[in-house]
Amino acid sequence: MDGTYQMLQDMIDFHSARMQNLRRYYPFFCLQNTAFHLFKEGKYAFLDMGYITLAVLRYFIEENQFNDRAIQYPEIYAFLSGVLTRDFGLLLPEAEEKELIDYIFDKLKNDGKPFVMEYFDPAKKAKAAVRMKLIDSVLSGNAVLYNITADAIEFYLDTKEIRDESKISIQQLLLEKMIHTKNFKGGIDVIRRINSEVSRLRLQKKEVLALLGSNVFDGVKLLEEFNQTGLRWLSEEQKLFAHNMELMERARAKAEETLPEERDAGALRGIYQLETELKRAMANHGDLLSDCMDLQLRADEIIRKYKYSRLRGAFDFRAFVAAAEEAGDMSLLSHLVEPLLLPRLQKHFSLLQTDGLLSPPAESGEAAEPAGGTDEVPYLFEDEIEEERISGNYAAIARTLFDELLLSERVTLSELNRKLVIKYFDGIFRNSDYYSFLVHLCQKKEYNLAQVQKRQETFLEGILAEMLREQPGQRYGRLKFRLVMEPEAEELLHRIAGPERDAVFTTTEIVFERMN
Amino acid sequence: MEQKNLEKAAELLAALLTGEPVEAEGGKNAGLYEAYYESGEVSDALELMLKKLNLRVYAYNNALYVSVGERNRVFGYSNEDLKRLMGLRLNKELYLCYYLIYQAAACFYQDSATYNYTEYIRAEDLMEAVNRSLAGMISKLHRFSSETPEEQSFTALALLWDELPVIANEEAQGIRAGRSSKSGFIKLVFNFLVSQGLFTEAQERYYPTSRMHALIRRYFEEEKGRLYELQTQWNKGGENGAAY
Repeated sequence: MDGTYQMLQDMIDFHSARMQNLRRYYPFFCLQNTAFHLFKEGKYAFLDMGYITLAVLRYFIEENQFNDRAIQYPEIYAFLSGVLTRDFGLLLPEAEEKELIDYIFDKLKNDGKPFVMEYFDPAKKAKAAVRMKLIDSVLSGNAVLYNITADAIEFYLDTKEIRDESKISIQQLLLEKMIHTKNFKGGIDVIRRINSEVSRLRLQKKEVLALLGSNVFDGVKLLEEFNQTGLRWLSEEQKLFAHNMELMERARAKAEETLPEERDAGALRGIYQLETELKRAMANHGDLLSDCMDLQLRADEIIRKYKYSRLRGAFDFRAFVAAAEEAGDMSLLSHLVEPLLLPRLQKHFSLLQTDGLLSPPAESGEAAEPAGGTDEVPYLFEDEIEEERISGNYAAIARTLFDELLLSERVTLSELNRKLVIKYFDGIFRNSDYYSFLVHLCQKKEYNLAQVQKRQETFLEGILAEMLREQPGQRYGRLKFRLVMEPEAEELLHRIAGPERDAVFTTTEIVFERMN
Repeated sequence: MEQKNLEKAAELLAALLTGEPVEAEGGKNAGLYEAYYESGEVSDALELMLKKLNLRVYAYNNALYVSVGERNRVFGYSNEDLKRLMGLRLNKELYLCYYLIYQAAACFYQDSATYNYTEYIRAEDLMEAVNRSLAGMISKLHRFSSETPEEQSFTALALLWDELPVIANEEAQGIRAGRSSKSGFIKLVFNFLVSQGLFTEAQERYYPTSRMHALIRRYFEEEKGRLYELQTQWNKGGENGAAY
């Protein structure tokens, strides 16, 4: 009866635990089986995916763990290309090789998804699944970096040696045995394995710290677990290391004591190599120890900070999300997101509009005003209008004067007046511009129109220059004349009849003499 | 109440609802901000109107920002609206987006009062933050058996994230918004946040806007009591009809 119970317990209760252990092997066999039969109609079925998988994992361990750097796609490409040519003798054109390598790498990554192994859990009487990834990827800048997962390292190490609670101790004991039996070469292998185990533990430590940063409660649980499994043997191991070192020294001393001709040169070299490796392993181990101390300190710090933040008056987003996680309802996060959104404006389309959809747009009652008539009207100020009038009048009088001068060498003001009266009637004498023209004209005794065009000295010359520019054919261009006042001559009288009163203007007789 | 003040308040309401900036410096609504700031009647009237519409207004850094609060049937978005807006299909994808938005905010604020003076974040920072925060759950997923988790559970969210590749295509130049990769989701969320005036983008760096600061600091400060109440209700196991 007892026997049956025992058997049933093994079968049912421990089934899940066994499956958990088998999980590590699952991706390997998946890859081994399915890989190449469907690709290019089985053209590459002779390639062994199992070998490629293990080779890639070893490469990742080398780069990630030993050289401590992440791998990018081009490096994997180069490595796989090497494997294909070296081990399978495949020499492919570039495009085809690329396609094949992409395919292999996609398979290894499982397109970025974990491998999912489904099984029946007899304890829960339900279907269950376990997940495992071989290669993980992170984005850094524009490049994707690939890393081997801790699970995959475990799988790789599991394929060659037994795993127990603390692998380091077992390896140590193995090493002791090897030193006793003088198998130094085997000893070096053992130490290398110890080193990889140490780096696995350090990786795990990083994971614990990351989790503590995001979720304190889960982090603390994982930390306890880590302390139990990972650290319990640390002091014991330290002792074993010392013991091994001692054995080493003795072996070396013994080898050196023997006479030179009896010495086994290979064994002596082996001892030295082993010693260096062992020292390196001890240093690594020491690093792990200090890492663990550091982990504890930082964990304490994080927990302390978390406690404080719980006590503060502010709203704690993290606690809110943690509560939602615990309640198992992530839709509750909408409490955080909704208040941040902009008001939603609902724009409706009136159903009444559907009637009008097909008819042409109706003429709207009010026709738009035709565009146009918007030409800009320049605005003139009053003084500008005045100036325009003055220069117009001056130019007209000056033109008459110049015409007369072109006809005869000598022109008097009274002769000019007669001409002006013929042109503009005697209203000209009521125009104040006539008098101001004379005043301006008398400012200089001589005029040279060629000069005036180049350089203007008076207000009148400015107007004259303007007039000459507009005059086609340079009719007056070379005119030169001078003014001669004749105070003895009879004064000219201009009677001006205004609507209110009569006025009389007198001007002195002026003689204009042409000089060329 | 003076007619003039009521008019100002109504103008302010219209400006806030249509999403126009109401700032003291510059912009066509500078005058309105002044009216709000200087006249008690205007601010009272505005707040009254907003309250009746289930909205809140916050003055922050010489500008006014409106929040639609939660479960606002008129001005808020339903899950379906949001899915349509972001181009999502499944509810769990929407919850993942919520989570990404929370993580984006958490890069700047751990709680409503502690701004850590981060200036901007990039897509990869957000991805890193999400990876870190989900790592625990994902490693649990790997270790323990699980049945198909419920759509809204945290497990489903972690599972969805874990099963997405980092980028959709090794060769693709630049990252496009989409549902087929982690970076696609992140881009999707950032595009949405930019369209909601919560972040601005410059050379693939995302800077939080004043609106974001205002709402995080003021809204959650004001509502913390109620939200805390909610949390305790969920933790009691939904006996008050909440959660689950």
